[in-house]
Order: sequence, then C-alpha cells, then structure tokens
Amino acid sequence: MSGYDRALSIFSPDGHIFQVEYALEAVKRGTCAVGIKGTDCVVVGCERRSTLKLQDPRITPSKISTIDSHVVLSFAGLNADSRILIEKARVEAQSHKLTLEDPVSIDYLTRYVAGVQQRYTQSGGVRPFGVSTLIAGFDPRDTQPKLYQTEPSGIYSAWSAQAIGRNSKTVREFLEKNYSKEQPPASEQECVKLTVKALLEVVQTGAKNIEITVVRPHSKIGTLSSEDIGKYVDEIEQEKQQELEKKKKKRGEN
Amino acid sequence: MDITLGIRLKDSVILATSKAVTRGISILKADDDKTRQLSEHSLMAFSGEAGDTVQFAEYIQANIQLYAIRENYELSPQAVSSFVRQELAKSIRSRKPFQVNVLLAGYDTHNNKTELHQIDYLGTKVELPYAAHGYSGFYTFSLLDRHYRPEMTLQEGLELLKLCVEELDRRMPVDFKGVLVKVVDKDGCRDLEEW
Amino acid sequence: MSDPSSINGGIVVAMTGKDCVAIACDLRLGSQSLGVANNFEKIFHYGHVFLGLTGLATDVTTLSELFRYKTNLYKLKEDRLIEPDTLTQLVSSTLYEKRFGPYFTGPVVAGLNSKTGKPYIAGFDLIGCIDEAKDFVVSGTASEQLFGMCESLYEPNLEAEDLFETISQALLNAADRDALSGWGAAVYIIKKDKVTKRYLKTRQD
Repeated sequence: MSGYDRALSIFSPDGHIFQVEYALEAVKRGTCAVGIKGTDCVVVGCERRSTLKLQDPRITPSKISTIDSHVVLSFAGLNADSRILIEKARVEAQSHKLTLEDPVSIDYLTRYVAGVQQRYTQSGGVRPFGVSTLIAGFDPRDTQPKLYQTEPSGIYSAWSAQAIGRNSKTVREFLEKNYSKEQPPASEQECVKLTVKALLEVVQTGAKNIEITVVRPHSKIGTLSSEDIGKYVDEIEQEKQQELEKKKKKRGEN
Repeated sequence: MDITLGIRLKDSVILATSKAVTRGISILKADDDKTRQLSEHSLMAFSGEAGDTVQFAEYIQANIQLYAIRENYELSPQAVSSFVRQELAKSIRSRKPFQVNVLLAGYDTHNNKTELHQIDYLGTKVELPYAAHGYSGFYTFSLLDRHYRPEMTLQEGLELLKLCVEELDRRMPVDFKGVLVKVVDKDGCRDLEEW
Repeated sequence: MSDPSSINGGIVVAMTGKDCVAIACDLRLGSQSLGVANNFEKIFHYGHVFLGLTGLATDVTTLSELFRYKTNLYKLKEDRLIEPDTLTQLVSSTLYEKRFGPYFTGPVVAGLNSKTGKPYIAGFDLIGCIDEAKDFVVSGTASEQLFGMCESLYEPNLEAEDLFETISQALLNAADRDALSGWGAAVYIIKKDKVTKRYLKTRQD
C-alpha cells in the first residue's frame, strides 16, 4: 500500500490521484455502452446484464435514462452511483428551463455532469463517481446530433461514435474501422444497425441483452423493443453467415 | 381583471383565457398566453399578481415534468391538483405569498374522465363542472347555470363559451382582446385557433 | 368583511342521542357572497371517529389531510383505531401548536367510544380550546342560529331516527337564516354497528 490512496485529495509524488484511477477501473468492469451519431439522429445502445431466473425484468432499471425530453444519458460503471448523477442532471435540466426559459443544451448538460464528477475528486469525505457517461441528444431548435462523454475525473469530450465500459477497446476499434466521419450512417436504420453490430462484438447473448434508444431532433426519443432489436440481430447474423459462405467458396475455387 | 374560464364537457375540457396584459390604464400586450401545459394531459390557466403568475406556473410545470421524467409516469389530474393546492397553501402562510389563482383542466387516462379543478391563492380547491376566477364569473355563471349540461360535446361547449365571451365583451369595462381557447382531451392538449 | 373564518361560509353541528350520535354539515363553498361550489363536504372520518371542520376552506382541506396523516400514523404505532376523546386531544394540541398564526377553523368531533359505546361530541375554537358538551356542539357562520335551533329542538336520549329529524331541522333552519350557509346538506347518523349518511334536499338560494 503506497499510502497515497487513503485520502482522496492527495497527489502521489508522480502526480496521480489513485482513487480517480480506481474509479476508471470500476468503469472498465461495467457493462458496455455505445453511442453513434448519424446524419439526423443519435443512437445509444448498451449491454444489459442478463436478468436472473427469478428476477422481475420489468422493474430492473434501464441503463439509458431520459434527462429531459431532448437528451438521454447512458453510462458504464457503478449502477448505484449513476442514479445520483442522473437525478442531479434531471433536476438541473428542469431548473435551467425554469430560470432561463430554454431547455439545456447538450454541451451545457455535459459540462454540468462533468463538473459534478470533478467536485467529487477534490473535496474531503467523498469518493469519485465510478461512472463514465455518454450524453446524447439535440440542442433545442437544432438538428445537429450531439454526443459527449464524461469520465470520473471530470474530463469531458465530444465524439462521432464512442464506446465505454467493458471491452470498450474492442468496440472502439470496430467503430474506427466501420464508421466514417465524412459519411456517417445516412438513415436511422443504418445507424441502429451499426450500433447493434458494434455491441454484438462484445455481447454474446444477442438481442435480449441489448438496449437501444434513438434520439431524433425536436424531442423525439424512441426506445426499441426487444423484438425490433432481434430483427437487427438476425439480419446481422445472416449477413455474417453469407460472408462466411462466400469466403468458403473462394477457398474452394482456389 | 384577467379572464380565466373553464368548462368540463363529456370527453374534453375547455380553458379560455383573456389575451390582454393590462398594467394600470394601459394594455401592454394583446396575444398573451395565460396557460402552461403541466403534462401530456393536464393544462393550467392562471391569473393574479403580475410577477407571481408565470413564476408560479413554471415552477409547478418544472416539478410536474421532473416527476414524469424521474418516475416515467404521468401524474393523474387529481394528483396534480393536490400538488398545486399544497404549494399554494404553503405559500399563503409564508413571508411573501404567491397571489395566483388557477384553473386546472385534465384528462384522467386511467378512468377516461375529464376533470376541472379551481384553486385560489389561499389553497381553496374544488372540482367543478365549470369555473372562473375574478370578475369574469359574475358575468358568466348565470349563463353557464342556464345552459350547461354534463353530457355536452366539444361543439356545444364552444357554443356556450361563445355566449359567455359575448357577454364579457358587452359588459367588461376594458377590452380584454378576446380569449385564447385550449382543449384537453384523451389525445392531450391543443390550441383552438378558430373556434 | 375579510375575516378569514367567514370568507367561504359553512356550518357543522353535532348532537348526542341514545347510544348514537349525529353530525351534519352544509355543502356550500363561497367566496364572500358568490356561491362557488355546492359539493364541499365539511365532515371527514378517521376510522369510526368523525371530524367536522368549518371556516377557511383552505384550512379545512389542509387540516383534514393533516389529521388523516396523523391518525394513520397513530394506527400504525398503536395497532388500533383512534378513539373520539383521543382525537379531541390531538385536534387541540395540533391547533394550539399554531397559537400565534392559527388555522381559521372551528372543528367538531363526534363518535362513539368503541369500548364503552358511549356517545362523545366536542367542539373547539380556532386555537384548540376544547368544549366538551353532552348535548350538542355547533360551529360555523350560522353558529348563533344553530345555537337557537338546537336549544329549542334538542331533547336528551333521542333514538337514531328522531335524532336525524332533530339535527336535520336544526341545520336546515339555521342555514336558511344565513347567507353564507346552505346549498345542500349531509347528515351522518352514527350507531354502534352502522353509520348512515344522507344528503338533504335544501333551498338553493
């Protein structure tokens, strides 16, 4: 034990704050979440822990939460910690609307959430949030899709497509190969399909452990049903199968 | 002098509010909206002290919307009216009370029922078939008493409203620039531009 | 004019009979001289105990909800329903808590003790002074008229049916001499194992 991880507000001699790094460790162990910007939508998807045999799936909370009618937040890391962030974000969204007459911009909400996370790295008697978030939506009266990420340290960043949580490296590499900034998925369907495909890289169990929410301009948020996601999964599986057979044939010809 | 009128019908509720903003002897605005939508199926009309009204209405709106997002569940009109009453009842015994009177129109999606609640700045709450705040009641209640039926359709309700507004136009001492009419029913809230 | 306890108007009266009690209220809610609602009931019950509340309508609602809250907690803590005499003490202390900023109400408690079956009625002023009576209790904007009616109509040990007639006539005729009361009435007759509620047809002016 080096002793520099006992009190939170203490640097180690080489400039690290260990508790924050441990928080990132918690994020890495959390189930995966993916966000992808389309031309006129943002799709957020995540891996859902499979429900146990006797668990009631209806009351198991979703990993994608609506913050206001135009913005959603998904996370990777400690479920319990995320609830606090979500609650704070929701109250801030309403309070902002009440005092400024305008709903929060996605950028503002991201800075707020990151700000909360930062505070918990610099004051006594608290620990950081073991949570990274993906915040997606559209600014009021705007049709430009927005996607941001926040981390336990309070860092925030904007992305075209991003993955956080367990195996996020694999998914990110997949996205880097299959997503083009110049030509983002043109339709909502393509965008959803890419999200599902990205998640299938790391989710073995298929549709029943995937959650998808689509955010469109003008506060139109839609959550896909298990059946809808199932259709995408089948389609992707089929394509993979065809690909495989093609390869086999080629090999046979040679 | 603001006009807020409400009529509960068979499967909708009408709210009508005057479009004028008056300060002293001047009319400052002729297209004011004295309503706020609280949730998909509840709408609140308000009148009273200038600064208080919108502040209070939007405070209520924020809280109802926050509840809906937190719980992923829309409060019933009954529950909304209870909340508004409690806020006003708390306020009346505070250092500076809100001077706001409200009418709450709602459609209860669970019981398929229309509701109209009248709540004054003291926190006096009643469920009524038709309601008004301020002076407008003095001119319109006799008409409503005579012509109102609980089974009225929206069309009939609007005709009755027309009678009321004509009477107000005739007898109110200052021009209130007509009324803004909104309707709440099973499909939510909507504006009636031409009625 | 702007006396809080006579803005909305309304009356409540309670009487004891032989092994029964009665409590009745009018249904009017007004704003000064304007009638606003004719369905504003002023009697609430918590288990087998009845509470009538006259005065400022906002406080009537607030208190009825506050006593619902308090009697529910009582039930959970004590594992039994609250008795009339206990509710009386609860009402008194609740009102006196706000001695220097009172609720503008005139509460009336009525009920039968569930153990002894003894009729019990009590009234209060707005800061909780208890008026335990053995015959009748009146409250509201027509309390003087009610006193007059009760004083002349009441007799002890009436049977339930006769008590109903007496309290109804007392209420109706008192309300008719008060501009702020009336617009319908509700009467509860409380017997050991049965409570009957009746709405009275009244003058509509």
